[in-house]
Amino acid sequence: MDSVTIPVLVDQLVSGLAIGGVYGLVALGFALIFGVLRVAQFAHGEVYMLVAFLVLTALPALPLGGFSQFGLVLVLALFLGAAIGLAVERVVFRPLMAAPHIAAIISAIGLSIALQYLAAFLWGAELHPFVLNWAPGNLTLGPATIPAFKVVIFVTALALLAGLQLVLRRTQLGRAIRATASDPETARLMGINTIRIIAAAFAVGSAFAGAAGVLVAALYGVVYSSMGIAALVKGYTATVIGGVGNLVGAVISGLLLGVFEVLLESYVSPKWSDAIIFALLIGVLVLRPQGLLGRAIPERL
Amino acid sequence: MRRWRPTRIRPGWPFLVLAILLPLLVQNPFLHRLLAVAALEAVLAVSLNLVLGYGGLISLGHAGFYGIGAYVTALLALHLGAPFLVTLPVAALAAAITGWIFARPILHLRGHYFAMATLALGEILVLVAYNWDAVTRGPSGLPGIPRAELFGWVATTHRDNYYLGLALLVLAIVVIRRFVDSPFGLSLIATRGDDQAAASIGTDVAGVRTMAFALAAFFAGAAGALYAHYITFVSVEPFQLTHTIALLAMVAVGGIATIPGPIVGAVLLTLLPEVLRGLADLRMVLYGVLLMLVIWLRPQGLLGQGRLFAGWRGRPPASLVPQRVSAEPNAEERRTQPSPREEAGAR
Repeated sequence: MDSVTIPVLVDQLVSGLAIGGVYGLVALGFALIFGVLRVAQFAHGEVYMLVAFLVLTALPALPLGGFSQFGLVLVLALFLGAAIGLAVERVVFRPLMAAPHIAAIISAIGLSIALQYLAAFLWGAELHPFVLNWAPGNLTLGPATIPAFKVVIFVTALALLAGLQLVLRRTQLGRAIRATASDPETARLMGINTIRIIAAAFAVGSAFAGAAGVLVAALYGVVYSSMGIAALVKGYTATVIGGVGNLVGAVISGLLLGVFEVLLESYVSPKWSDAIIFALLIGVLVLRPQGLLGRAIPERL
Repeated sequence: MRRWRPTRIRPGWPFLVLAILLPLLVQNPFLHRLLAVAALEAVLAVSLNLVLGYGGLISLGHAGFYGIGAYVTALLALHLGAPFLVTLPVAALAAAITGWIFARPILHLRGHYFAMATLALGEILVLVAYNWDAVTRGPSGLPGIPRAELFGWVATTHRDNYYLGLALLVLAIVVIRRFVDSPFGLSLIATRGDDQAAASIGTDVAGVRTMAFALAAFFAGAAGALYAHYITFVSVEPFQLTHTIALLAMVAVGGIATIPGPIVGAVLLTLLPEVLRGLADLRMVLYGVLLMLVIWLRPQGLLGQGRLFAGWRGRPPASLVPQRVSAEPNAEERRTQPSPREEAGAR
């Protein structure tokens, strides 16, 4: 256990915000899809894993130096995520729209198992190093030195959230997504093609999962076939704490989760940090059933 | 409003006779091992179905109760030398009490909040088993648990343990069927459809849900006791989220809210990886794809109500899990039949 000094604390806060940014992005996509479809996308973690692997495979073909490689990788991840998301929606969720919720959930679980083992088959089940050409060095912040890349991850997560909020609040598509989330029947009566809106939500939500997958791969420097499970559990947790359907809440609770996790690991116990987080989660659910940041009427965007 | 009819069960006796005779006719220890595992999985699936199918609550911590049963059994047998007849009921009660205590404060939660709370409980149980070295020996697990012994008869072979599992399965089916057909079960099913409406006519929603949750945990704990005595070694792997997810798949594939469905699902999904063994690395890929395919063709599960191949444009039976507002293009066609709720409102 580390002693509490300002530089160490700042470093840990930044690490927490970086991993929290990743959780927030996963939660954001999960919450967006849940908002319009009302079904948990249990293969969301596999989109994240698959994009990280595809980008890893594409990396040798992107021999760019420095920041341009990072930028290109991020854009590529967003596009790959969106494409996979559209395919997932088409194959897994659309045929089951009239079916009970549990059918769609089990179908997504089937896809999650298939993709996880397919990745292990194609690339191998071991850890794969993931190294970008870009090493942005350290930032000096008063007495503390912090790796700039962690700040970049945090900023990227916030930028994507801001972009999504802009689309949701200011554009026709965003209005249609919010209408579908709040009342699909009425939205359809108003002439909104809710099928396409659901597909759009899948594309955007999965693009965020793709971005998160690449960012976490670059942060930890590894990619592996079962990385999606932890991401799903953390993203799901952040979504619920934030109040299901509350996008800003999902990102804020993702960040809080990351910071809390890093602090618990360094100052309380690395072994018990997850157990403490889950116990607190139960406490939050008992005391505030609508989520820590949720409003009284949940499940709306 | 259409009256709810209890699920009519085709007589199960021939199947029970077949289940008893099969391992006697086929002398294959490999098959006996699979059957022993399938029997325990069936107990877990049947008990999960009580919460998921009849209660309409997604529980993501069911394997945790299985783990409580297994660890309690291991500790009692190793440290106190407790016999099977003591470990079995104590393990089941320990799981049921944990379920009862935990369920009470969270049962007012709905949908994903409930699922999240049970997921958190399951993860906490696994983390405790993994990290509490002094008691559970952490990742190295607890070896050397004695075999189950009943009045001088020791369950040594796979077949013996299969029969123990089968006996527990029969008990679980009988108890859960009775529960579902009792006033408690009818209240539970009423809370599944609309918990506020059920509460308004005097149903103790939290009470009946707690009872169902604890009963499901009871049988999961008993299955854990059999598992510990059968494998003679306990570590955290079988009690993790992935196992709960496999159990959810068994219930859904077999047919949610039916009695035989989860059993069929448990047997199929236990045998499937073995049947696909020839495919080596692609085995689990095909497992996942087949899972999707079954749900695609029959969203209500193999033995669920409704016509054969109800996938695609099929209409799921209205009596199943509460449905979301449909969003498919032929929704107008569906609305020609009034939903039970609209009918009730029109009266």
